[in-house]
Amino acid sequence: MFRSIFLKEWLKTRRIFFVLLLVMTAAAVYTVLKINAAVESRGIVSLWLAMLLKDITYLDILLWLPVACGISVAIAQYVPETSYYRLKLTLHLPVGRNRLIAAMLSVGIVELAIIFIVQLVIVGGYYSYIIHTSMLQSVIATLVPRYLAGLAAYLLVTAIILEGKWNRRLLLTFISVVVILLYSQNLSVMNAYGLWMIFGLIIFLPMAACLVFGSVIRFKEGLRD
Amino acid sequence: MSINQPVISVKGLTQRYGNGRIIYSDLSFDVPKGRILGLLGKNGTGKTTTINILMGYLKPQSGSCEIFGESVTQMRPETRARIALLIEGHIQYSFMTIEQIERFYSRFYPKWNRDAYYQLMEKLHVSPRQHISTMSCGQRSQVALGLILAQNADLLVLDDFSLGLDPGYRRLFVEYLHDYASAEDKTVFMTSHIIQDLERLIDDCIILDYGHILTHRSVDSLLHDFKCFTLRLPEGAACPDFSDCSAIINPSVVGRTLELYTFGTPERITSAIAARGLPIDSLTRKQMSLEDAFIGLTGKY
Repeated sequence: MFRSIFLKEWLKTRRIFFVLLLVMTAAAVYTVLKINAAVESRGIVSLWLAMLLKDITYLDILLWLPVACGISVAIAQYVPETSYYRLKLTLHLPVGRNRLIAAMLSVGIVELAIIFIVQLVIVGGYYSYIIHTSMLQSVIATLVPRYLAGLAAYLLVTAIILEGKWNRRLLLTFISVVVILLYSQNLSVMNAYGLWMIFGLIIFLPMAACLVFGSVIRFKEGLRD
Repeated sequence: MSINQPVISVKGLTQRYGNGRIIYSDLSFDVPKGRILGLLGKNGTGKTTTINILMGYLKPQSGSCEIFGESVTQMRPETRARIALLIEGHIQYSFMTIEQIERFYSRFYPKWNRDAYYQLMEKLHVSPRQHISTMSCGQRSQVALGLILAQNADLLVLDDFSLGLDPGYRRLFVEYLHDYASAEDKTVFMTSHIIQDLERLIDDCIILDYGHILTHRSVDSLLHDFKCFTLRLPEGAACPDFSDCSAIINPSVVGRTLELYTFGTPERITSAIAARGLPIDSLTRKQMSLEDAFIGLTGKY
């Protein structure tokens, strides 16, 4: 049964998955080329100093992309469910509601995780050749909260799409904007509070998933405008 | 669930629109096993609302609904597997192909009958790899019907199956469904806004008016007991007032012809007309279809 659910979700999201994988890989390769060009023109010491003293990591282009990925996957996966109330078909399947929603969410999360890991491996792999381990941790601490924010964006946008009441949608949109802005601070803030921000988002993700379950329960009860 | 227990049992259902206007109050009915029941009513009388409540997609303000003896709000997945659902407009997963959607559903239902689906698909002359989104409304209706037949469920709940279908596809749908339901002793609960299609299909009907049930009985009994009489009125005569005669329903005048509907006896009608000084020599009983009976009960406006 769950194979069928995974198949359905994959059919909806496969195009956007490959597009995002391509975009994120291209962004990672562009970043690597940009760092490489900086090293070749000014030398590796100059790069280290820029990273240590000015918090420059050359990762600017990568910072907003994970959130965009999360939003795109949520739209591709759940807009088809809500158009013409197709979610009724899904909820009529002989599977427990919570297990069904968890299976659907897991497909989106796994796809995003794959995209993020590919990017992290490319960027982190290149950095590990040219900088010290302690500096690499700083790069990872910059990127991981953005990836977690991408997952949070996915869950929050899913909850917004599945929610039937406009007042709740507005509330969820407000929460989403706050979370995304919080995790889009400049790099010095991220470096200073990186671990705390990761910890905060890890706590927040299950709460965001609960918001999705709440939207589905409310859909089931007919709470729609 | 005991043998005599109805497949669907609705008790004291009350539902309102968001603005507080009542859709119906204290609605109660049962659907016994093996019967095909049509829920008929004008637009806005709550047909789709009833199906949404029955399928657990709407919480009623009061009352209870049970299917196979289980409350619809807490239905087990095993019970849901015994119910085939057709959503208004034959909505399906349009991003899937004919082949993919069959494979998708087959894993959920233990009694899945693949051949029933593909037999119907052969009639459509479409490729198994064709996407449902590229099909016409009629073709999509056949995909939805094929999936319902393949599911081999004990109860079929069909919301306005005729929506958007041309007469050919409507006829195909009705014939397939009729053969299937009668051969397999299935219970069917359905709505349609084209009542003439249902006459060929349903055993029982519930006719809803705004707020309540007008009648719930077998189609045979309705067409036998509910009568339409016509009478040629004298030149210039207005529609007589029958408000004190509860046996006469929805009297109306078209041209110079008076139409009367009743569950009463012909003698009762004759005496009511004679009491108003009208000549009864042109009084005739008109043969009615289910659609005529529906109009007679609910009125034209």
